[in-house]
Amino acid sequence: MRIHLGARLFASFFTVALVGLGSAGYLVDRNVERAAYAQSAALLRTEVVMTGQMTASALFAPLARGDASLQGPVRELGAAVHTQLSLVAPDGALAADSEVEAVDPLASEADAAEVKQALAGGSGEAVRGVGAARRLWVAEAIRRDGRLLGVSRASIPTSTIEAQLREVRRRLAFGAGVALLIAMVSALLIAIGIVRPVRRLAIAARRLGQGELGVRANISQDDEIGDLGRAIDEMAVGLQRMVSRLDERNSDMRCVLDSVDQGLVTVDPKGAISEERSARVDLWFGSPPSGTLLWDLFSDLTPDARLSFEIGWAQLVDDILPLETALDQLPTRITAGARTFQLRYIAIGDDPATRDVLITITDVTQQVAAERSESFQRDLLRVIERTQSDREGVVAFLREADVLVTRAVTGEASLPDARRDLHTLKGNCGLHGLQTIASLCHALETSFEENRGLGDAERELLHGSWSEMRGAVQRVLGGREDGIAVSREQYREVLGAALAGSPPNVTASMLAQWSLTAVEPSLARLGAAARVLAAKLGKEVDVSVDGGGIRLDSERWEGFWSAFVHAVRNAVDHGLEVPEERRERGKGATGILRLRAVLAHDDFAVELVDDGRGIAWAAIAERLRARGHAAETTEDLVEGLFADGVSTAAEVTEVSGRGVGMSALREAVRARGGAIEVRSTLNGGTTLRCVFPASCATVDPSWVLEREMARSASCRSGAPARAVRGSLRRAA
Amino acid sequence: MLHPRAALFVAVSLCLAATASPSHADAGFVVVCHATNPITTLSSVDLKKALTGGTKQWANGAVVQLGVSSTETPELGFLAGAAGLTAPELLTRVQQQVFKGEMRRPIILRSSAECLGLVRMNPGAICAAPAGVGLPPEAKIVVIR
Repeated sequence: MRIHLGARLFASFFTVALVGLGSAGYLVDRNVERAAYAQSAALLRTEVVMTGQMTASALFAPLARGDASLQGPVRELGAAVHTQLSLVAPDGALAADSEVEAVDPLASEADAAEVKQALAGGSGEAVRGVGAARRLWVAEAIRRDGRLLGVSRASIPTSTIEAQLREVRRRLAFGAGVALLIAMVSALLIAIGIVRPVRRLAIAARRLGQGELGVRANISQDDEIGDLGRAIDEMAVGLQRMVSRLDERNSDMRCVLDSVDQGLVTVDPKGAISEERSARVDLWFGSPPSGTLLWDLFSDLTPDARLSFEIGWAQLVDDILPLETALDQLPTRITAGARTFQLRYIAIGDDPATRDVLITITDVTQQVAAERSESFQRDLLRVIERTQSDREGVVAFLREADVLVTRAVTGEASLPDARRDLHTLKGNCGLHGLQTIASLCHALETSFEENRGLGDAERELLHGSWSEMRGAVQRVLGGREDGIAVSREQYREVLGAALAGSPPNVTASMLAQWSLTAVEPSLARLGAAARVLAAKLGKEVDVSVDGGGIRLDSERWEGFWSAFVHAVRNAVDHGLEVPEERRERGKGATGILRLRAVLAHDDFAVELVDDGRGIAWAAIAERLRARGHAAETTEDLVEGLFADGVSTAAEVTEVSGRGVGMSALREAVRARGGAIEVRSTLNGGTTLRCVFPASCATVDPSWVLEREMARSASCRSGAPARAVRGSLRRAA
Repeated sequence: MLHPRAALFVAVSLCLAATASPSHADAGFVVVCHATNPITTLSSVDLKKALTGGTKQWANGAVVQLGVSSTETPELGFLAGAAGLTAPELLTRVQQQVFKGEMRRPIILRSSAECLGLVRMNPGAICAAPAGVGLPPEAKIVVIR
């Protein structure tokens, strides 16, 4: 309940006055009463002494019972002084009393307190009686020549004293009433004197609070309230100066905000941007109104990016995660339209409910383009380097990549095939140093898994990126992609055979081999990729490659090598241990990886052997059961190893973990009529053999001629040059 | 030395007094006053006035000073009788008058000698003494009529 200050002050002053007056009145009343009784007693004592002296003078002997000789004079004297006078004999007998006609000879005052006191000590005083009979008694012993003659006594009714007291009290009450009235008026005046300037101060302070910095209290009185008023006036002056300085600083800050080439804006806990921001924000985002949500600033924001913003902002406000972690969860790079923005978040304040966040927005479009161009150039440089040493491999990779990209862009393949194609493309690009395309493929794989396929924009992105890279590589190759590289040794061999008159079919076979590709470079390429990957993963590996002098039709086998790279990556990523782990298991720090091609009478095999930790069959079984597959026999487990989506990796990385690669390898092997054999022991390593019929590694020269003719025709007509398939066995 | 004429006057006066108040003389007490007191005779009423504060001064200006015993003695009885009162009445009247301040407090006498001594020393004194006692020159007998 609000109680007015004036009322409280008035009540306080009035209460103090009332208590003071009451206390004073009580003390005065008590003193007056005592004084009245004392004065009456003194008066009575004078009369008693006088009477005693008169009696002492008159008596010839002590007063005795029945001696009423002085009754008359005492009665007359009492009437004269309007006081009850009496004489008491030493034995307490009443000798004279002015209030009676005749003294009762049997009356005794021996028990009266004042008589006892007078007889014992010379004088006595007492108030006795009840109601109207209550009287004040004063007694004095009557002595003459040291001899006790009796007691002289006087009394008056207390009603007489009380009557006087009543009069005094009436006057006191009147005086107190007047004093109280004066106190009330004084209290009222004091309260008004305090409250009025306080009100003025309150009004001045309120107007100051509302921004009227020119207002002044103008309190002139010379007391504490006056000091307060002057302090408020000084505060107002100080505030004016401060606001003036702040205005200047705001102006300076506005200049800075208008000049800085970054977007600076604060965002409240609801995600709404503030009105104060740098000019770049308005330039980039079209002067968004205050209160616009942060994620609404960016046009063409994907639903995922918007969701990231909203979830990240909710985490920030919820204050469950540490502040730094919550800020790290927010998107840091946003592409809006043709621009790419880098975002940096700085929390302002500690209370998550009221904490604002300063967001620094930097346009990194050019930087991103430069980075991309740099990556592109690096990739191109790597391809050029690789072309110097393995031109055929690069050409084969480009051909296969063309096919994979075309299938991915056109959507010809089924979803599982498209996924494998994308994965294979990523592996091959990584193998040949095209990290830009490999990273793009990895991102597209993630999108593929989330959206069950690629969208048009993603297809367009893949096509555009690959076309750009492909064109650059094509320019490096200088249009010689379709040629056949022949070593001088091969040339001399054929020339020698012709001069020696070799049969035509022998010469034809030798010439047909020119279009084949040696296995060993492909294996060496895989081995190099294994080394690079191992170094990236902090592992040491000793790679040995043995192509067995075998040459294969590159067009038929290029898909296999693309798929086989997954097995190599898996072996390095999952199979080989880091040096510390290998040492703990009693192995050398350097892992061993063997890549070998073997051609026997009945079959042709490509082997991958490592001495790593072996396949975690239990984990494979667990994954298979989780996916509803059989996992009872060894065959079930081997089959499951190559099932789509099965992986023992704990997390998906750019290297492996999606469970797609081995599936792609199996499809590639099956497509060539082969099968995969797996032998693995825990901590003992793994041997993976891709076994094909021996016929897969042989080629008929006439088929080669036929294919070459077809390729020549397709070059003229533009039709695909893959109509003829075959294989040639290298001449012994 | 008393003058022969004076002695004769006293003798004649005593004789006259004896003849005039044979009852009082018979009692054997006389009222004595100072020789300088001009009174020689007093009526019973005047004596009562002198004893109870009615007369405060004698003719010569001397203040009346009563001398009595505080108890009932023959002298007190003689004096009260001469004034037409009893001894208690006299004492009561004297106490009352003294209390009222109408007269001097009487001198309490224990013997006739003290009466004569009082008269000798106080010009306004009056008291009763045996009739045969030898009066000093400063005292004289007042005849009560």
